[in-house]
Amino acid sequence: MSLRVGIDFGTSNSGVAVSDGSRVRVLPIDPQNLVPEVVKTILYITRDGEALIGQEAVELYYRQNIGRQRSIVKKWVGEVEYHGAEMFYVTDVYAYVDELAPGRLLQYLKTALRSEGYEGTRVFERFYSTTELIAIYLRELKRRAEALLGEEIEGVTLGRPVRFSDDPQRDRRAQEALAEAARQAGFRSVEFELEPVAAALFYERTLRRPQDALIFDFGGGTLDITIMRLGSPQEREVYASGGIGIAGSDFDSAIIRRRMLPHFGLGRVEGRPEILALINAVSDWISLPELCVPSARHHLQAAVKAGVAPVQLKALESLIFNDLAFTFYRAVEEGKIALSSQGASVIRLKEAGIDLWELYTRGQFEQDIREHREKIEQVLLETLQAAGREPGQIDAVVTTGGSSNIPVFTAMLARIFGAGKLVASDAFSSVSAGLGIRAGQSAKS
Amino acid sequence: MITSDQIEAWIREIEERPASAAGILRAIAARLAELDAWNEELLADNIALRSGERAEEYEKRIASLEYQLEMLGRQVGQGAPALAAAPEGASLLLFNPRGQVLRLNLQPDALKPAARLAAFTQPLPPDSPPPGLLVTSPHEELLFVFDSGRAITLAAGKIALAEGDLSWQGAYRVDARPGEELAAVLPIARMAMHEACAQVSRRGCVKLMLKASFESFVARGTIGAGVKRKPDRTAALVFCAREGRLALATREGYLLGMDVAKLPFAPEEILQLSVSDHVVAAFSPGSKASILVMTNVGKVLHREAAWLEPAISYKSRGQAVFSPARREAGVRAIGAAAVDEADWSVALRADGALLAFPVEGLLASGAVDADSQAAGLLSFAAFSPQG
Repeated sequence: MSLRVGIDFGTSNSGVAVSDGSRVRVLPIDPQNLVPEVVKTILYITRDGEALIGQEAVELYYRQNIGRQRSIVKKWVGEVEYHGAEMFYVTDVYAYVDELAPGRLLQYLKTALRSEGYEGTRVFERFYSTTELIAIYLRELKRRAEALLGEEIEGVTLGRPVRFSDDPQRDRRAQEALAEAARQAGFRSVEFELEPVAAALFYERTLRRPQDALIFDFGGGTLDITIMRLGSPQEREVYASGGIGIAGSDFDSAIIRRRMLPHFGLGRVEGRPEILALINAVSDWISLPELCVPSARHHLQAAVKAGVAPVQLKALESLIFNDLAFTFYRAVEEGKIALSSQGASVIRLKEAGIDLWELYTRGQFEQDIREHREKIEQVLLETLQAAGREPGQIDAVVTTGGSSNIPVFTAMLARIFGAGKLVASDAFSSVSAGLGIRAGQSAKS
Repeated sequence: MITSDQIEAWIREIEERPASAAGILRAIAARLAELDAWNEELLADNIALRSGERAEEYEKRIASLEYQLEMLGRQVGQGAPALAAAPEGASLLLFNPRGQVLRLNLQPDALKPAARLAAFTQPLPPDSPPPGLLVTSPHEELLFVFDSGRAITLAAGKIALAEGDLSWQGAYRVDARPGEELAAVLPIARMAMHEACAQVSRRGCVKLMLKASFESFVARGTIGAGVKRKPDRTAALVFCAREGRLALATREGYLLGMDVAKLPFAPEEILQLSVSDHVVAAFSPGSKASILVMTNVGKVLHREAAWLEPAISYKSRGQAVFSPARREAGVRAIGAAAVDEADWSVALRADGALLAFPVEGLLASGAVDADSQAAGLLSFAAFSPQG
């Protein structure tokens, strides 16, 4: 029997699972991640063409970009034709490029699949199509999975959203591009399964009669809601699907904005826009290495010398220039995850120049993400409406994804549908696990 | 800073979910204990400030900075007092791979031909690596480099002076991590006077670091292992000018010179060695007139600086300084340096005695004294009393 795996290629996170028919195993594909069964859908390509994914990519991105030299040069990138009322002229377009950049970090590869007009991107001297980029990512997943399993993988069952796009043609093209990427990655046989079906597969196998279920797939990058008929493959019907680009990473940003930034001077610095820009940039992890330039250090040191929030700005300087970004964001994420099982957690960062201690409560967290929660509830109700169903007509609410463990969302679902209808699937990896089961079935047949 | 809003949030959490109380209390208690310990440290610091101990420490630091300033002054031609003629004398350091360091005070009046400076209580074990020797100012800032590539700085004056007979027991120990060995020591007060620093490995690999990079590596506490593969390790660090030359001397008696401009920025094997050979010394000849190679049998080999021709490609074998017959007879180089006649040297004998020799005398006689020849030599270093 040829080996076949299931791959959940997600917007923010991905996973790989394999099933032998009796048991499904989600592989610890990213041992450096907080949850090794989940790998960030992030690709980092270095100047010499080395490609890294997941946590390794994030760490190398930080290591190579914090404290490095920069040389910004003006490069011609093309020309624009201007047609005015009675005028026509052509003007050159230039971009400012850092010619010493050691690598390029790429995110949201899956989103690129459905973007009209986006063909790919140039990384240093080479143009990579979207398919090529995804192929590089999938090839690394395949390599890691083969190393863990000790044998070659022949085929893959890939997850796909109910709709990549509302336009059927674009939807078909997106799936074709993903299939081609998988083939380029070395999978000889490629098939697809809907992600919500995969997420509910465990649950579906326990059903004796068909049911109308709501799949609440709430991970690190997006919330996907699907209302569908479950029971058997013949009975399956998707009534409606919806979603919103709010999930775990947005909650981390909210915590940082509301609770962490005061530790770096927010609320204590006035009339210094350059410093305020540095403080506010902390909530965006990807931009932090970009702040690591001599002018930023100069501004911070001058402010400290002038007695402006010296403790906080010294901490900010240390965060930016001492390669602490990764430790910091991880501490915030750990604090947030702990709040799913306890009422309070400590977010702690004690390094050179920083002594950050924040006792953070579940009440504060719920307050910090209230806006997000309200938007999510609205999307949920809209999806119900689009499916033409009332909450009472939903037989089960299957929750999956790390963020579905957050008590305020469990409470929201219980309030709308009734606590008895909630079915918690494996929080971090039920889509991967479902795809692994489907892959196992395909391999057998 | 803990605000009243935060305290309110904690109380609210406990009121809403009493089960959270224990966790919150535990977290606050742990923080309180931590702050309490920190407070005690600050109070102790305050006492040190008030009692003047801290002022003493700052005075020493100022003296060290003044020394660095003098060095810079020399660079711009304003002259500086002689190293050994400074009121405190010079410091002679002995160090071993275990990170143990002994510091001796080298007074100018102690510099007499074949003068016995100190001695180990016991002969040094023949199978252990010979200790490194370095003569420097007590105000110097030293860079200790480990085989892992980690580097730490320490003022020479912070190493307590050894008195009486020498013993590694009770020697100052630099902060080596488990599995790490001390590979080289470099005085870095002169860093500002040079354009680059070359990291040389035992197996002849060299990596050139330009001043700005080297300064940033030192600030980060790691300069890199500087080797292509283990178990090779750093043998020496040498400050040099970009237009200057780097010289390497090997145990089996080869000398290799290479223009600094040709040195690689990533570790590359510039010297090809036989399996049993390794680098024992590296230096930049600068304006010195002669190159002196000291052997384990106490014989001195002397060459004019111009004798050393720069190698034109990597993996050169270098120029032999003694004959194959001598090599077969067991003669080995233990150290080498670029010297002037007015310079001095120190050598560590196999019986543990540490002696001083004027370079002028060594050049004239071609050997150390008869007793030292009989005892055999382990380590050698030359220095200029002019700093």
